[in-house]
Amino acid sequence: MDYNIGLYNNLKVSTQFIGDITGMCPDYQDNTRAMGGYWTGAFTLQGLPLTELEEWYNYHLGYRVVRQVGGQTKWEGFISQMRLVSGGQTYIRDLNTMVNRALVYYRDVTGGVTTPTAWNTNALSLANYGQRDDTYTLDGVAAAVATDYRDTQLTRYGWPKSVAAGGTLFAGGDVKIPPILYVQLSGYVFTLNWRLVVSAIAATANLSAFITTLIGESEFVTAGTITSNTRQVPQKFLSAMRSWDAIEKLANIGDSAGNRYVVQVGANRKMDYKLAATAVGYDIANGKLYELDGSECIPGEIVPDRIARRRDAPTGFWQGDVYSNPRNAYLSEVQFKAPGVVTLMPDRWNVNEQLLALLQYNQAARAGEVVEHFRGK
Amino acid sequence: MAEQLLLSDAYGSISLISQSGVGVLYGGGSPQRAPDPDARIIDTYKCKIVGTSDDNLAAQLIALNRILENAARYDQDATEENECWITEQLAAETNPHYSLLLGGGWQYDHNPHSIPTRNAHVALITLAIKRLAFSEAGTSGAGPYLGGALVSSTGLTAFGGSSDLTAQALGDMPARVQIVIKGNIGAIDTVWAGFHSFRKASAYGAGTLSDHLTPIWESELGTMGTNTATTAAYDATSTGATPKSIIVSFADALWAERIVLTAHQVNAAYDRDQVGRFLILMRARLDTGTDTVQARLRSGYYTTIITPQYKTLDPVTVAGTDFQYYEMGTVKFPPIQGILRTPLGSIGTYNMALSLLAARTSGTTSKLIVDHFALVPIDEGFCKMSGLSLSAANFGLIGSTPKNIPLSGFYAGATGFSSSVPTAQQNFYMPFNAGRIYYFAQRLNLSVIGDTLDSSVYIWPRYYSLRGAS
Repeated sequence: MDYNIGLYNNLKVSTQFIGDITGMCPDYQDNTRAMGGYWTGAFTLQGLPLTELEEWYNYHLGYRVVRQVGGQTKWEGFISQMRLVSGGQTYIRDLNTMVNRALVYYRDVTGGVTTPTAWNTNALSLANYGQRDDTYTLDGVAAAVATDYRDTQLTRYGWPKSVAAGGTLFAGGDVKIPPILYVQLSGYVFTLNWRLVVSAIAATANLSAFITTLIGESEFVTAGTITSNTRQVPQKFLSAMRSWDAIEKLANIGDSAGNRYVVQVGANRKMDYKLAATAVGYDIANGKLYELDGSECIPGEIVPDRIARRRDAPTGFWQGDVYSNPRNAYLSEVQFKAPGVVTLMPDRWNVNEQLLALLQYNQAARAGEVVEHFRGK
Repeated sequence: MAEQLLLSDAYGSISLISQSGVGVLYGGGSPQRAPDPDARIIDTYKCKIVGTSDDNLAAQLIALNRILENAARYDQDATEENECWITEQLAAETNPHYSLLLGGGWQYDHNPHSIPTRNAHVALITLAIKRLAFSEAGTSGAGPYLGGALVSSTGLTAFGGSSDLTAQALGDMPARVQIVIKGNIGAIDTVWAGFHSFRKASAYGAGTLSDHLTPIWESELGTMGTNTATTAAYDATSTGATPKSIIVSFADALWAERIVLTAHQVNAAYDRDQVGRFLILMRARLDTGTDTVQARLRSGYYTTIITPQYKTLDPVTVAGTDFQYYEMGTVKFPPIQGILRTPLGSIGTYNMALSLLAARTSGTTSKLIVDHFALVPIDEGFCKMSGLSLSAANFGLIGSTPKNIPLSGFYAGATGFSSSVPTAQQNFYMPFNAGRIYYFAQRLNLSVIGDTLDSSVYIWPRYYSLRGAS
C-alpha cells in the first residue's frame, strides 16, 4: 500500500495510537473539499467475528482516524457513526444526533417576550465526546416546564446510545448473514457546527480576525495559517449561527479585490484561511494526472483547491478569469478510494465547469486512465 | 535433511508423507502458485490414511481436523495467537520453508463403510488446504517465527545512517522484516526509515550491488537565492564535511526562492543514483525571535534557460531556535519516468533539484537557517515511529506478522511494553534482491549533531516458488 491508516483514541480521552488498520478496511475512502478541508470518509469491517465488531461498535465511536502518505497526514477525522448489521438487525450509534448541551426559548402563557432558559448539559457525554449544542422553542409554557423539556431532551439525546434501526428479523430459510460494521467518518470541520457562535460584539473587525475568533470557540480545531483580510465585518450575527456555517459564509465574502478564499481544516485539526488557488497545480495529459515537474501524482496526495490543466483540451475563443479557461478545472473536492482510485470533482460554481467531467484517476491498476463522465448538474 | 511435508499447529504436526499415517498418493498433489503475494491459494492432495484400527484412523482424521480448524480460527479470530503452518522441504534442501496455513477441509473419496477400506483401516481422502501464496524461510527448525536472518548495526548516525542488506537478500519476492531500533546517543523521539534497493543504482546495470544515494543534501552545496548566504565559518551545529548552513535574511517580504540544490551539486559522480520517491525532511531553525517563518519545497528540473516547472508542496511553519526536522512532502527523482532510457541517458538526472521558497509572514527580525535536506526513501518500504524515548534499554519495534498485519510498539525496558506510539508503515518489506535501509532520527522537536541509534533488522526471505536456496 502507498498509504497507511492509523486508528487513535477519542481525542476527549487521549491521543493514544491504537493500531494500523490499513489491512482491515480495503474499501476505505475519504473526501477532501477546497472549502472545508478534510470532509467525510467511510469504510466497512467484515469477515471479522461478531465479538470484534461489537468491540468497535461499543467503544470506538469518536475514535480518530488518520490516513498518511510517507508518514504525512493526508486525511484526519473521527468515527461519527457506526451501523452494525447483526442477526438480521441494524443498530446505529451516531454522534450527529447527539445533543449534550441545550436550552429552550420559551414564552409564557401571557405571550410576553421570548426568554431562554439557562444552558444545561449531560456532563458525562460532554466529557466523553465533546460539546454538541442545540436549542429548542416552546410557546405558552412556564419557565419550569421549559427546563423540564430541556432536561428531557438531554436525557433522550445526550448520549449516543445504540438504537435498533430496522432490518429483516425473519429472513427466508436459514440464511445466516455475516455481521458487518459500516463506519462513517467525519472531518473535524464538522465539530465546528456542534457549537453555536458565542461572539456577539457589534464592533467591526478584520474579517480574518473574526474567523480567528470563531475558530477559537471550537473544541477540537485551532487556527493554522490565517491570511489577513481587512474587509470589515461585525463580530456577531443577527440570528443564531453554527460556527462552520458562519465561517463558510465569511470566507465566501471574499475581499475588496474580488479574490476567492477557502477555509480548510487540515492535519492536526489546524484550520487555514487563505486565497483560493489561482495558478495551475496539476496537469492532465495522456490520460494521467501529473505534478507540474512531470512526475505522476501519488493518488493519496492529490488535494483540492488546485487548478488542473488539460494540456490537450480544445479551447476555442474564451474570456474571463483563470477559472474560466476551458483548459482549467478548479478542483473543489477530491475523493480517495483505497487502494488508489481518486475522483476529482471540479468547481460547482462555474457554469462552464458544470458540464466538465468527473475525472477518475486509477493508479491502482497502473493504467492511469482518466475517465470522463458528464456531471450533469 | 529428510524430506518434509507437514501440517502443524502449536499442539503438534501431521506428516503428509508418512508411510504409516497420512500419505499423499503419488501424483495426487496439486500445489498452486499464486499470481500475487497477497492472494490466498488452495492446494489439494489425494491422501491415503492408514490406521492401526478404526479408532486410530478416526484419531488421525480428528487430528487433521484440529489443525485445519485452528488454522481457520487463526485466520478469522483476532484473539488467536498461534499460527499454523505447512512445512515443506525436499531431501536436498538445507532448510524447510513455511507457508501460513489458513484453513482447509477434506472429503472421502471412497465410502468409509466399504469393506476394503474398513477392513484395512484405510481412508482415501481429498485434502484441500488454504494458505498464503508464498512460503517463508526460517533458520530454525521450530518455525519461521523463531527464525529470520538478523542484521545488527550500531552507532548509526541519525542523519541517514544505513545498513546494507545484501547477504540476507534471499527469496524471490520482498522479504518480511521486523526492526528493533535502540537508542545509542540521544533520547530519540522520532525515527524515519526507508529501503532503497540497489536495483535503482547505476551500478546495477553493470551487475554490481551497490548504491551511491546521498541521503543528506547539504544546503551549502546549492545555488543561493534571494537574500541567502552560507554561514561563514565552521558551524558545529550543522552537518557536512565542512559543516555549514545557509541563512535567509528576509530583506524582502516575498515568497522568493532562497536556494536551489541539484543532484549534481550534491553528488557529481553519482547524480544518477539519486533516484526514487522520497519524503524530504528539512533540518532548519530560526536564528532568533518568534516571528512566523514559512517554507515550502519545490522539486523538478532546475534550469535558467526557461522557467522551471516545479511540483510545489504545502507551506510548513518553522519555529524555534533549535534545529529540528520538518516534513516538507514527497518528491520523485527523476520526475519524468523513462528519462534515463532515452538516448540522452543520465542527463535526465543531472539537474534534478530541490528548490526552497521561504517567507517571513509576520515579524521583522527572524532569519531562517537551513542545514540540510534529508531524503527518506518511501517507495520500497517505509516506516515512521514517533513518541519514543530510545536508549540502550528502551527500544521500538516495527514490522509485520506472517499474515502481513502491521505490528509496532515501544519497549521501555524488559517489561514496559506499550503499543501507543504512533507509527506508520507503507509497503514495509525488504525489497527483492539487495538494498540498504536508511535511518533518520531526532529527539522531541530537537535534532542534535552526534545522535546515533542501533538497529536490528530481522529478515524472513519469502518465496513464491516452493523451493529456495536457503
